[in-house]
Amino acid sequence: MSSNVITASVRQTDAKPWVDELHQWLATVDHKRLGILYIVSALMFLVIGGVEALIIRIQLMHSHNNFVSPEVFNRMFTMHGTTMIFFVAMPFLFGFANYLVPLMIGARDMAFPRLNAFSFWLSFLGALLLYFSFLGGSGLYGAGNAPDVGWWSYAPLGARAFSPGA
Amino acid sequence: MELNRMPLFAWLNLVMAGMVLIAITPLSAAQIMLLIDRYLGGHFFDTQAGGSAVLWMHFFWIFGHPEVYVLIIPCFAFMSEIIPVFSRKPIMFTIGMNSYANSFFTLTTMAVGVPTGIKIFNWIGTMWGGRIQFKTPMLFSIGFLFQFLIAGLTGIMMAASPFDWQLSLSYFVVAHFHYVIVGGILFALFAAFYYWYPKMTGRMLSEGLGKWHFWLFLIGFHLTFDVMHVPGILGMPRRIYTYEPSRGWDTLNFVISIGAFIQALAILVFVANLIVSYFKGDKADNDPWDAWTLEWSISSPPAAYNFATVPTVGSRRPLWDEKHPEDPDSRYE
Repeated sequence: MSSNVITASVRQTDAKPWVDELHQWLATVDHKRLGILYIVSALMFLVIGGVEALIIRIQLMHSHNNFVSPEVFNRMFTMHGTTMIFFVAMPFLFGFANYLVPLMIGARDMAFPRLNAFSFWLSFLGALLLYFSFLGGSGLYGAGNAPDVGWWSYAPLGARAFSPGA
Repeated sequence: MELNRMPLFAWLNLVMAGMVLIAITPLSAAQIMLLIDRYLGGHFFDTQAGGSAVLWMHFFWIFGHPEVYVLIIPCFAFMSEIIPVFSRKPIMFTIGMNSYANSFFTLTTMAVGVPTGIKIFNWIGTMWGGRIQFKTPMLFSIGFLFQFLIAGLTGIMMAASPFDWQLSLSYFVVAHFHYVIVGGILFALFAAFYYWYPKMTGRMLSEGLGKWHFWLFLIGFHLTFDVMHVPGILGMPRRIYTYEPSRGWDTLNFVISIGAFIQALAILVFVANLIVSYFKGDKADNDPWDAWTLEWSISSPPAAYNFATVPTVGSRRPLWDEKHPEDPDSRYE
């Protein structure tokens, strides 16, 4: 098990090494790098979801507060729930699993590395798409229309009449 | 590696992956149906046209209920790796409460809810009489144990129907599930961060900042979510925008909000620790925690190819065998 080193010939370095580095991260199919990408994206959304939680808590700090409008308040608890479950908790756990399972069983990578990479980029772009809803569309209340009907999105609130743009 | 030598971590993540397949597909199906409703004139959830609103609820909770286990089972996996290592309990761990018992209870008792209690006894049994090292990962693990226990107890409270009628959609529910997700899952995740960060980056996270992070987060967490049960019992519904002063919820809500800010401060300390330690942290060697599983046998961070030669595994603790050739586990298998 010891003396586990393979020496490779030194690669030609790019004139712009950071471009090379970025390219390696974006195009990676290595389970370790994908695990770290999952974890870093989850950290980013942990901070975003945390800010949403703080807005909720400032609003509820005392009675008859109007720190945010009721519409924004609804968006905050909806986005907080969706963000924390789908873009924080699950990516964190998938990231650690992605990184550690092959190492623990003595494997060199996951069975389908490209599928693994595809999976990360789908979930990350999905998260960006959800947050794009703050910017895109006219919505019920003018500026942006992030979902505001709770993370369950119970029918008929998810229907077009009640969530026109989301 | 034979299947019965596979670490519990890998088993639990296998279970999680299976549950993801079962849990996420109904949600995806429901979302496709909703898309058809919204853009193609479908009526799956449109009660005015003979659709069913309850159908969405059922689909959603076919996803929602297993989702809790999807999230908690990898956390059990973290605990089952971290607690034995910091309890320095090789003997009891392998001979007394072994990982077969662990996986048996995990796999069989999901349906009934008793098992979680058994797992907690299992982890405490591992700590019992061990030489516990109170490093940051262990602190978060112990926090996880107690908070997850309390979360389970409030869960049982709501399982009693009369109680549930009273508390459904109240702040009590919000307090309960945040106890599971923050007190349980997030604490376990922080433990995992402090435990595996050295492997991922080659640097140790600062223990000093780690202890600040732990204590601030612990205090903030309890201030917020312990107190949050009370307005729930007093009748405060969830998802309300504001409330009347005559309700008497002002002080409680103020305390909850203060707790939230202390948690936010703790997260700042944590993120600062991640960044500072990445550049200035102490160098981590291959095996900083004197652990037993294979990831600690290779360099930190590992090379792109992980293992130059596929390792031979003779027991469930291959690295222990390598470090203790005079008394390897493989002798007893």
